[in-house]
Amino acid sequence: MPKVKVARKSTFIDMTPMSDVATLLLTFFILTTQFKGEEAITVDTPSSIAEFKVPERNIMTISVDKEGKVYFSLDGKFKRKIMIEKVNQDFNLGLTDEQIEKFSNLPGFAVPLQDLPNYLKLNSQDMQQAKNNPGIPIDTSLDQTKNQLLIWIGYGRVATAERNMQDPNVGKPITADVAIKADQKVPYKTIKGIINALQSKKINKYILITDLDKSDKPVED
Amino acid sequence: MADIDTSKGGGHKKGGKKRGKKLSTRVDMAPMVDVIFLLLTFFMLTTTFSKPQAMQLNMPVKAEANAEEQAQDVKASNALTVILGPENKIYYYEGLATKPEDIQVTDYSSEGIRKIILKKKREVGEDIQARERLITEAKKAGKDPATIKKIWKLVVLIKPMDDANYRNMVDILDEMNICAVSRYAIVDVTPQELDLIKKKI
Repeated sequence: MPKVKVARKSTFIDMTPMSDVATLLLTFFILTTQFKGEEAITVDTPSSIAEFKVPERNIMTISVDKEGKVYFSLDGKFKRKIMIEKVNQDFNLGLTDEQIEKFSNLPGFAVPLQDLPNYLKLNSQDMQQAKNNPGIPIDTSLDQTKNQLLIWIGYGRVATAERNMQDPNVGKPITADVAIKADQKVPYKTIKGIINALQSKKINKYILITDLDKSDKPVED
Repeated sequence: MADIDTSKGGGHKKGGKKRGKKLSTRVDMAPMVDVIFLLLTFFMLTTTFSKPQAMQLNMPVKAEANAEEQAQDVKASNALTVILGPENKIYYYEGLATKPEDIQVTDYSSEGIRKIILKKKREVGEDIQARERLITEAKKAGKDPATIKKIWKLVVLIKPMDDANYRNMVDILDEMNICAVSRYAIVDVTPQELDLIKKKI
């Protein structure tokens, strides 16, 4: 019997379909990915079953860390620029154009108003240090010097509305929503101060940022 | 190349025309695939798919009648007051509290406050079938079901004490969602209630 010749088959595997799929996935991830903005403080939010998504635009976020330090951020560079220009003018902070630019590049800040000029003189490394971010003073009172959140909320909303007016894609004075992102351990007193400040500005609707906890489901009784 | 050459020899015919060696048109994709997978892994691991979750909270308008005054239109028997105390304790009472014995203590577990809310809901007679019917009717008429006061009998007054923490507040709001309580308000604790709680402790 003649030897059966096993045909020599190529070991080459066609990678094209695989690379197609991989490229597709890669494109998808590149396009959908969003890098987390740097935040000066870390917040461990409580969990809830709520599944409301935080809007990406027109949002002011008030973050509170576990020591009760308050951090304010506003989306959009132009909005921040309008905001700081107005604050600079009305409170005579004497910021230079360069400092205004620097401020509008920061996603948020945790500095009392009076320290802002000095804070903006620091280099980016020093800006990150905890001692330079003492937090925005808040208080249960409605005194602007003690509860500076009032200033930022007011100007933040004005700036957002103004920017949305200017923006050819929007053209309507939409104001910003308020999100509160507080640490689990923050005493209610601090939250009360924030809510008081917001209510005095006639903002009665907030978004509380939480982690998703799927363990509890709504009960049907 | 990543493949093993399996072609048989050089294979050029003798005496034929001299031709340039035929080069394979196959391009080795392996390095590219390597890079793509590396990037893919990176993006897959760093991406945050879901935006942070959040709950919405509407507070009563301050200038107008506050929640407590509104609650007085509500029958006292339909009201449940939940006071969030320190150390993850909940003090609660139904209707009105005049003496320390009226106030009871519970916790945030599903066996604690949730049972109490659900029990209270049944007591005030939130009839599910009637409620469902009214909701569908309202939806047909194009109205927001939350505006029909008739179907939401139970009112929960949430009163966080200054010593309560944010987690407690979110937990109790969450409990409102879990138990489908539609009418609730966050109100300040009154001095009388604080007195009663002090006596209780």
